[in-house]
Amino acid sequence: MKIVLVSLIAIGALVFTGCTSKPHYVGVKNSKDMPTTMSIDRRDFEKAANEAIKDLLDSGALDRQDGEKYVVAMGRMVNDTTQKIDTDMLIKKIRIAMLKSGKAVVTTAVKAGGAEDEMTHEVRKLRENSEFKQSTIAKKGTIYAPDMSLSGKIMQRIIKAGKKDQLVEYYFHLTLTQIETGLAIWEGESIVGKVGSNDSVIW
Amino acid sequence: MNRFYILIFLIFFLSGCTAITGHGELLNSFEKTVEKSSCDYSFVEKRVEKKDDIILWASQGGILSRDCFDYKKSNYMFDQAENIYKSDVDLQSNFSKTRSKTSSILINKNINEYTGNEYEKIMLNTYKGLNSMALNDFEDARVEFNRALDRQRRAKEYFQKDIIKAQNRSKEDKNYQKAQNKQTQKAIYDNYEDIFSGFEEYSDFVNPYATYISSLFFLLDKDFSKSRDLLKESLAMQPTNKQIKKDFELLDELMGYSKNDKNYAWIIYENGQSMVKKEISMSIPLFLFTNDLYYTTLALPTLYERDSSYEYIQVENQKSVIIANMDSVIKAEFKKRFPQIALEATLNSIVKTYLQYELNQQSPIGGFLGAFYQGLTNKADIRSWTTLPKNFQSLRVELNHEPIIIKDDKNRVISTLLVDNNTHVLIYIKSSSRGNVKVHKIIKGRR
Repeated sequence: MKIVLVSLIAIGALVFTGCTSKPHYVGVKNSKDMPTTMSIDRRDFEKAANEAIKDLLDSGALDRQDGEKYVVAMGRMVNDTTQKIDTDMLIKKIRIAMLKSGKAVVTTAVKAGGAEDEMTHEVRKLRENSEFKQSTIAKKGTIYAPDMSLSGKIMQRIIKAGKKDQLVEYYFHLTLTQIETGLAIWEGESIVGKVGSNDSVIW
Repeated sequence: MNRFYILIFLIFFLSGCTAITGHGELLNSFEKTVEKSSCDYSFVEKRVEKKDDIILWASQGGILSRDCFDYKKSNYMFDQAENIYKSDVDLQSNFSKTRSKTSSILINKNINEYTGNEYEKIMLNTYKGLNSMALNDFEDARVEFNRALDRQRRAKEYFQKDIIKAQNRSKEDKNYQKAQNKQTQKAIYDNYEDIFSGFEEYSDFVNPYATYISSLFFLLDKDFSKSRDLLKESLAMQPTNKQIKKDFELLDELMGYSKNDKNYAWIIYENGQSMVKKEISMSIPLFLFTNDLYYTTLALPTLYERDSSYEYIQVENQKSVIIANMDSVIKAEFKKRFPQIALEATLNSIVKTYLQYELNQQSPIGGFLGAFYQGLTNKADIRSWTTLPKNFQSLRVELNHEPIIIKDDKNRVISTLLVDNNTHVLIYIKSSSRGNVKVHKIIKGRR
């Protein structure tokens, strides 16, 4: 009787869960420790960041003949997808890798949309404030202007795949622009593709 | 037959009295709240809190709070509707579809949770995008407009394939052939001749406004290439539309093909009130028993037009141009869905007529109860998002450091606005009826 009951439950589960395909990466074996979703997740950011870092460092774009380091400012990172994501998840990893490489430093005093760390400017507003020891306040002409700007865009393309599935592709585009010349000296692209059920939207 | 009584009692008990009353009274009460322009959210909040047709009431609440310039609350409301679209409507399994269909065949469609229309899903994300722009959150606005465009893509797929699948499922019903009888069908469709003909149907069920306003957002966000692509789509849909053509030409200039460093104001005008549903009753012949023609009364939803506000608005003698006719979008979807609505209502009527016949065979009281039940539950589902406008219009003027004087179709001043001339701006005007004008927060483009 128990066997019959178990079999019925199993068949019932199969019937009601149906044959909807679970999201999976295109061309990659699924990792077992984390379920795959159709939206951008941590693994996608890691993949994009790792590929970008390797490509950037291998390109020699950050190599300086005089042994000095480039100062890089963070440009605009456009999220052109249907998901509300924090683009810092991608950028932070690239910044860490750039700093670790010893080839570049990142400025937090200038950034598209305003300074990342406002303290650099806030402290300077204390000049002529008698409450503060003036010799401890940063001097004029000490902030480094950036040599380069790192900007990018995350794009998404969704198309129906087969009868029941949809294919979503994420394109992580990064550009390193030499500010003096306005020329892009490095560009990187990383693509992540996933296939899953077309039943619902992917956000 | 006792099982029938128990089943009906249980379904009624579980589905509440909307099976008998329908949703007309609730929609009328809400209409009064809107007419008062009182920013009283208690009516919609109560419904959403009770989880009563969240999609419908949260969408209505989203517009109500947007009209009160509470853009944050509006997006909060829309989020609740969107969550249900994602978690329930999109993912509704075949199992639940069958379940809701069985009970609605025994009672009527009013007992089912409101699942919205495809155009409503598109408009929901469009309004969320506009709200985010008003909140100066262009990052979120971009996501919302991308969602609206993806919803548009999915709508096209839905009407191409999924709706046909639903129609095919009904073919399995044993009464399908009886419901599709030519005379029965003619009696139904004769009532819809005026509605289903003589209107501009946009291709692929696209709402041209969603595409156009998205392109304006991308323009204001300085993503000229994406904006141009979308305007190109808009122009392909309506090649003779003067405003879209002018905007498309401007994009070429802004992209540097010819020099243009001027700034412009786009004035978007939401005019009047969209078509909504009402119930109509009709007598239809049913061929259920050999040689016997049986007439029954069928209640079905139909659309009716509501009034325009100002035919157009104008600035410096330049009149606004219709970008999208929301009534046409609503009509097109209703027309596409109607065969299924009519079929289900006819099947519903056939089942109840059979039951009434069988009950009558048993006893006259049973027959009376059956007829009473049929009359009681003969109610059409007239729910729809009622706070949408009749049409969307646009006009563009160059910023020349002078105030922008917006006038109505009788040349009377609606509003005089001073705007920042250092960037492109979007001015959003809504008028549901003459004299009732809402000027939304002026949205500045990215510098």
